[in-house]
Amino acid sequence: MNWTHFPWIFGTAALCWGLASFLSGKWLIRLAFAGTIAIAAFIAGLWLSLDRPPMRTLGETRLWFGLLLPASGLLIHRFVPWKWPLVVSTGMALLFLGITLAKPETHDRTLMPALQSPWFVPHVVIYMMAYAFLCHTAVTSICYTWISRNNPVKAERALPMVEASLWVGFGLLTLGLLCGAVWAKEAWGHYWTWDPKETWAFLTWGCYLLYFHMQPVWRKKPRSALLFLALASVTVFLCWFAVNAMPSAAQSVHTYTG
Amino acid sequence: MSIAAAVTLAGLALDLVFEGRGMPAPAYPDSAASACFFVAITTGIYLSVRKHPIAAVLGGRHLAITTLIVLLIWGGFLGYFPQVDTQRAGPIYQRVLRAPPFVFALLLLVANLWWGVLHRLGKRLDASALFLINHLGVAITVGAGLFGTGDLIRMDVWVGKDDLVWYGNHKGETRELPFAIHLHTFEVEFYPPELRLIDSKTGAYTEMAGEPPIALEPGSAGQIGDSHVEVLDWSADAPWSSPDDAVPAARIRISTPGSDPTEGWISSGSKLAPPMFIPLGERVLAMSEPRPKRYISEMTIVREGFEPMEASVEVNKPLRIAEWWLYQKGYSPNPSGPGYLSQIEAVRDPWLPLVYAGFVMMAAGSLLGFARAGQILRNRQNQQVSANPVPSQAP
Repeated sequence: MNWTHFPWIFGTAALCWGLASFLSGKWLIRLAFAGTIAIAAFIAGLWLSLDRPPMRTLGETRLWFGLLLPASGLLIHRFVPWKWPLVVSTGMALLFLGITLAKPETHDRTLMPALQSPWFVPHVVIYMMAYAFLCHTAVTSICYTWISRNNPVKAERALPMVEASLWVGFGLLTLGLLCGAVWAKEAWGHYWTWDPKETWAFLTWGCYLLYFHMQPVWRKKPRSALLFLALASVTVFLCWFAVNAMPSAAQSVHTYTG
Repeated sequence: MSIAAAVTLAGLALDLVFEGRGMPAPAYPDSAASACFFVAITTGIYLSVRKHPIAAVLGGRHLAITTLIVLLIWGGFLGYFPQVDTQRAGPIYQRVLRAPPFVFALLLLVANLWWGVLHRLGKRLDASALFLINHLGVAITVGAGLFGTGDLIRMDVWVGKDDLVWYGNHKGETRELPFAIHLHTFEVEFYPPELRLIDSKTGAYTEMAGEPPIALEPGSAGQIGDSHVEVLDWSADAPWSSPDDAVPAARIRISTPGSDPTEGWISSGSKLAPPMFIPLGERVLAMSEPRPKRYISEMTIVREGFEPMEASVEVNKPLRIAEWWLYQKGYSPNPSGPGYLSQIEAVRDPWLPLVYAGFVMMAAGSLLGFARAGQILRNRQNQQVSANPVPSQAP
């Protein structure tokens, strides 16, 4: 499996997810699952052909996001059987996979020695899962901030579901942070050096931590809670994509390689 | 807001007094004494006011929120602006790590976490497991990291083949190690280099986007646009290499429809030899810089009172010697001869067990957070059932 096969995989996933958006019940789940399996198969094939985990470049992490976002959507659907969160998650996954399709990369087999660690895969996968759940939180928050503009009761009803997703995402974010710290100790001699990537990971974690500490405010103003969560998701994208473009990037060991 | 603001202002004032040189980081025994003093004073403050409403403020969410906001602001500076050595005074947003306001904010965070824990300990523990584990975990982690700063030693040790080295560089200062490193061999294994395309006008790499890269191994081949490229030969030691300077090179054949096949050498060059390219239209074929796959130092560790110990150090496989850890940090071509110098990092961090204890508690807290998500969903389902009860069937 290599990059030349990806357009076909993308097309298959897009077809499955596109059809699913018009259906409901078992066929919604089956088609969403089928599209997710297609992406999983591509990642597995790429892993075997490259002989390394395909999570070294920004494009490769987008692949994982495109897998884990609908996977988390299916998990959420198991507990909250609404159609639209699953449809939105597959739609968002198509967006990220589409960006990857538009910006093909050259996947070489090299993996620097520091990345040849048993912590590499858990750290990245846990982080991508966290981002997936936080993306759900953000999208639901944005939607209900808009929907509830004339009816705040809707915001109050949506908040428990949003917070359930947030607890899972934040828990995964913490575990990903800790995995990274232990790996940094094994590979580079210290668990935390305030590398720009680590600092932005702390800022992301800190923003959501701030949310949890403002619960009494959110009980009275659920719409404000949703707006806060929508804005907090900006830190996720800054940490994931924008660190490489910041003035501090030159001092980071976490820059993605192409 | 007033406590966090006062702490920040005090930090800024102290920064002026220190003239930008940064907070001192005491080493043992001062570090341990400082930590004990901090715990004692914060505990003493809480116990003296525990029946006063201010106790709830000290361990409460308002102070937590304002402290977090202050830390997020300083973190924003830290994450955006490049940081400079605190030996030289510069704008405070470029020397955040040792700046008094940032250090004070971290101390306030630890204090608030500890006061929060003390305040909750009087309540039912099982109702506060999530709170206690998370807050204590973060307090221990941040506190141990902060007070242990002065005790953390990270020394760069450069050692060449057959050298015996017992010193290293720690923050610009040469220090002795309690052991010596005698390097027998340093081996580097490289990935096969790959073919690269360079734009002949701009000099920028033009990646063959979407295509698998062509590895420069005998027999490998691929397509670049209309041209078929074959690798005829590859050597890490081209015929024109000298005994002290190995030049990697590959012989390539390019077949383009409508023209005769051409052959030539490409090379990434070496210390003495320049790189070599083959033109291909508006681009040139080049060889990628060799990328290390693995590097390992085989050594003997010599310590007073112990038998010499044979050992090896590799990336992600550090070596432990008493309270020290040796890490394979990197390597560099030997400027005074063939081969490489191995860069070893010797690290000593006596506070690490405490930090890891904090990590374990934070991880446990995360798992409890998953359980909280489940509880929220169950509560929601119960509310929905209560609001829409299923009517009982008449007998």
